[in-house]
Amino acid sequence: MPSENRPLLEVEGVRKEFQVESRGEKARLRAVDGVSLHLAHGETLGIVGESGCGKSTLARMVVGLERPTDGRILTEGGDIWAPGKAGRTRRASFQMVFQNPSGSMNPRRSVGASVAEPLRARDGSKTRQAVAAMLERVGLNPDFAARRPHQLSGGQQQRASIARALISNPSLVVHDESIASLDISLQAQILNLLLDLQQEMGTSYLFISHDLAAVQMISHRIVVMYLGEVVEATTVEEFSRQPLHPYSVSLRSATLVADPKRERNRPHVLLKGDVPSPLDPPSGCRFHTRCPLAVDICAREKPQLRKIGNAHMVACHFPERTPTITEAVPGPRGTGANATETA
Amino acid sequence: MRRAAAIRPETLACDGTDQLSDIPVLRVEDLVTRFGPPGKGLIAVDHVSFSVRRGETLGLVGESGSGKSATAMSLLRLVGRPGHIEGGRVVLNGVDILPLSQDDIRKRRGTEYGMVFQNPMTALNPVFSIGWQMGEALKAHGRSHGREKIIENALRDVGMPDPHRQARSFPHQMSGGMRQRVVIAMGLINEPQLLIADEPTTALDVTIQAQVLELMKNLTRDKGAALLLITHNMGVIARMCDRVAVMYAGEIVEEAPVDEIFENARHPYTRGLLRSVPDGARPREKMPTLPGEPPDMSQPQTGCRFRPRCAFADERCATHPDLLEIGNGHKSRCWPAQAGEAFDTAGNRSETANAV
Repeated sequence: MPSENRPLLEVEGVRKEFQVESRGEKARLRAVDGVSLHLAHGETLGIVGESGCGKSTLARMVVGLERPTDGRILTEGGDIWAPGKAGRTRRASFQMVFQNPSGSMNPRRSVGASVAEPLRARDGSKTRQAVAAMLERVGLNPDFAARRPHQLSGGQQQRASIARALISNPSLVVHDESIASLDISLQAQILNLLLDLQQEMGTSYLFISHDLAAVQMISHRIVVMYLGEVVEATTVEEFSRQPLHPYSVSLRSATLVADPKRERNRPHVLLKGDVPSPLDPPSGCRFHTRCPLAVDICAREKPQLRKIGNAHMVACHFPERTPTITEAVPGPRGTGANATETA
Repeated sequence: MRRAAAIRPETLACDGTDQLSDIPVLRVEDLVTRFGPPGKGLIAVDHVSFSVRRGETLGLVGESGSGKSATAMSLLRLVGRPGHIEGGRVVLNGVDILPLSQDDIRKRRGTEYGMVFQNPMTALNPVFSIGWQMGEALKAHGRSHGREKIIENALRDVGMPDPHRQARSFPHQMSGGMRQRVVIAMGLINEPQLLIADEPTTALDVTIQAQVLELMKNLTRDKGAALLLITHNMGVIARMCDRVAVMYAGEIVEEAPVDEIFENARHPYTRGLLRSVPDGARPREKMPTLPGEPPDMSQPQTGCRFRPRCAFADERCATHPDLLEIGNGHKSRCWPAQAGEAFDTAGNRSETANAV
């Protein structure tokens, strides 16, 4: 049996390739290219990145919806793709909440039936009380169990999806843009709910989003992905003090602050161009085509993800130069200098 | 009626051809748009009034269902059945466009106002090259001379690399950011005095959003066009706007200069909305939220529409408040705000509930 003190989730050098057709020719798209990460019990790991960075593919692999082309996904030391019952049980201990709440529930079944599904899949036992209790826990009236999804508002549907994910008491819930389709006031409600539920139930979250502010609000640690690779991984506190990858810095700079005076005064790092196609990723550092600091070596040599300072991983040849392209928000001046020292 | 001011100086000057910069390009008065048969259905836009001046960016902010997109569609006279404009005036460069025929409107679209929609994939025709589609926009306004040159310049203006080649490409060959640039270039190609942008960057990644916003800011600054920016993103509002109008349940509930809105919001809904924006600087702390959800607009509304979610509601709020000036350029549709009462964040009537 896997030992208790292994991390809840270990992702080891995972790759995922898709066969696609591009201009009549078969091509291999590397959606996720050698990603490793780990997640402890009761912890929230935020994964942030823009469209096409592979974060959703990674999420689908973690819950077992996609099988990695290469690499392993372990829970408490055991492979989730181990043959037979061992693998099946491990995969069943993970749940997922999707982006579009109306599309992720069967419109012809009652909300209660959908929420009960994970329990029913496990054993045939009585589910009615469990469903009512779970609905109440996520802030819904238990009577909603009898309704169809379309009779619920978007926020209520997402609460029901969360109830469905949590009802079988999973060790890990993967959120793939689970708040993206909600209005801001509802986003705040759901984020608070997730924090509360985590405290009550000790569930771990893998929280995947393009919204850096939301990720920073909910996570203990944060992973930044670009074109299928991890470019930076660190604690949220360290990240808000000083991100060390130029892409993370641009991402933070592009995340607008709801404060017009600060917004006017802080310098903005404007990246050139678009994210390159994952079919034909740039040589060397994949970010070099858009990086304001790129020099010759960046196009030639791929920077390895290496440890800098305490619990801060970054894949950049010159992380000590990163603070020079940025503002030191929101802390006092001099935070940039501190970051250079850790290098 | 306190709502109607006795004298409108701008109407006096409107007969002249030379327009002063403080004359609004667009003035909307008591616009009402209903979906469904008269007297029934729901009122999506309920007596909305605002104006936008030359070189100014007005942000129209609100959550889904607040009527902000229905307002934009009404301004363009693009409300589809069963929706229809029931009343009010939309004065564009001194002319009320609501009584005009569709032919007249079509002539004004493009030159007097341009539009940028949210989803660039559906705003472009997939089977024609973007150059061809931009040419159509020019042809509609009888501009056939040097069309190719104009198109290339328009694409260059929005930061498109290699515009000559790009004009021959099709929407599916471009990235989302590039497509949205094309849509903006198309909205601007006939040099409209007013650009209406409905969630122009919502479908884009943040680094691309930054590029597109920068572009729109420069264009309004350089060409002096007015911009009506519709969004739910408070960060976009903070970055782009001079003034902000906040919509809730079909009505404008607050309007003020941008700094004033963020520093001294005088409507509980605006305050709640601003508090709900996640702040990366406070990891793993619960946020103050707005409890509840917006009202069901198909039901008749009585009193203040925000009352059921409001921590400050009292017996006054059973009567529907008007949108009244409460300070310099600051309007609020809230009885306590109009009475000059403070929104106390402490005490048991706290507005900063951590409701989940």
